[in-house]
Amino acid sequence: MSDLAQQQRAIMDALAQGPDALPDGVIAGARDRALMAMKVHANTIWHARLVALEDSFPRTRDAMGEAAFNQLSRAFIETPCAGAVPLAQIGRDFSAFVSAYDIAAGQLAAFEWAWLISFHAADAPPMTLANLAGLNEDTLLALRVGRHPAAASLSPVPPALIADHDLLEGAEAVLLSRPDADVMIGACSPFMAAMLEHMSSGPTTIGNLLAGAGEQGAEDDALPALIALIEAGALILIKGD
Amino acid sequence: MHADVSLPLRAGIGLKPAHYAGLLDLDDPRRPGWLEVHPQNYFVDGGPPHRWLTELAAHYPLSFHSVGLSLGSADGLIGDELEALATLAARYQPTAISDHLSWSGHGDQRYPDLLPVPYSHAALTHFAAQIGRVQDRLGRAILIENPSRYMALTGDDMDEVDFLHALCRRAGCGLLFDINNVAVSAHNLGLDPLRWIDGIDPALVGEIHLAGHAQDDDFLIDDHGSPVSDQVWLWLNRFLARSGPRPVLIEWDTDVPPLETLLAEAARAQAALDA
Repeated sequence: MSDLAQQQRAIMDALAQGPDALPDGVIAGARDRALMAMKVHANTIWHARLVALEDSFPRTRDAMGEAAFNQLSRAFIETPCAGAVPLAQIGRDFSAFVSAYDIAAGQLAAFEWAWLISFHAADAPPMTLANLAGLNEDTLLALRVGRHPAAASLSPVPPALIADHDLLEGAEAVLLSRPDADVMIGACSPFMAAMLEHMSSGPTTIGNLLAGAGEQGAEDDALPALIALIEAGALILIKGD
Repeated sequence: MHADVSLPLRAGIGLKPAHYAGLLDLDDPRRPGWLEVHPQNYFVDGGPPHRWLTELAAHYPLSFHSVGLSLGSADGLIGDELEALATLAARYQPTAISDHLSWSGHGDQRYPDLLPVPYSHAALTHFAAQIGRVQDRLGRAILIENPSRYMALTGDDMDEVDFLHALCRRAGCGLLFDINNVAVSAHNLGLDPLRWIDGIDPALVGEIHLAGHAQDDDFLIDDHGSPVSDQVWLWLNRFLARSGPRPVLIEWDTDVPPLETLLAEAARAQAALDA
């Protein structure tokens, strides 16, 4: 291991394990001063990670209360996964961690992370009902569609979300979509969720989507589910082969 | 060698989401000369941040100030950060690109901080090679910022000014001269700040940063959360007297104030440039 690597490993150990892990001979000058300097860096790293979690999960923080959220956040950033990703990704595994202590808060955190993914997903013009106007049945069924990059379904619906979104009352899942700039929140039926799942591996035809629902004995529900997805901006039209 | 000074020789400000709309609404005479962007904030596929940046890029020259390449990591820079930076740079064609004389990760660990590298000949060779990788990938020279330091390392066998000069010669990069970082490092390490202010070769400097700092115990902390200190303004004037006009940035990253506050700081920097 090079001198540079040894020095950086020693600094990393001290950041992770505390000042006792810092060997003499890494930082020049008096040890007390060196430890104070390490504390500055450790504080910077801790603070940045905690702020990133606060910024990513404001509703979870509100729902849990500041003290409980901070306690869990501090425990989370001690886990290896929190330090193994760029700061923007630090919340990726946070909901699972929270769920182990507070299931409802974990569900809300999962929603907030899904919202962020939708917010930052690639832009794409959503398919609209106008795209279907005038098509005969064969052409309609052969039309190839895909899941919009910003569309996702999330189940179960976090209880804290229902208070702000009446339409989620009784829904089995939340639909997230972003047909334009803003993330839209709506109810997602099981057939809508199944259609999105069907397209998770790639585009398909409208005929396949409807047939998939039909196999579940839900032919009457299939078309309304498809229309609801289109109206939410959750699908894109695939042109060409 | 001379740094490529491509940015306007004017005062710019760091771009914050809270100021997106305000910057687009400004009349021409009130607009800052350019905007600095932390590219890591835009390492996403799409959404409103890219919409705003696209619109702002039509009105302002951009400088990309990366905080994530980790050029000083012993196991080499973070490759996916470089690829994301290259993709973003191809999309927005920024006028300048910069990163820091520091490391922010090693192995599978990432740190949201700019950790110090030793000023040794071995580190110089390693750092220059990493800058070479970046410049080859981006197809352009970059600027490297002098760090704010809280500690000296046992491997330091030259001072920071000599290290930076040697690095620019070796790697063909330019300097982003952060005068607030001089205030922080000189105070924390008990060094003479004029070694930087009077010693940095102006020909290497493609951009200047100004920011505020905080005090905690006996340390100055580079927190970018307050106005530029009077001392840093004096050192800016002193350096500009040697260098002539350079692009000057007002950095303010924590407790971000209203746009008007940043514009007032930028106006003060512009007055220094015009003097």
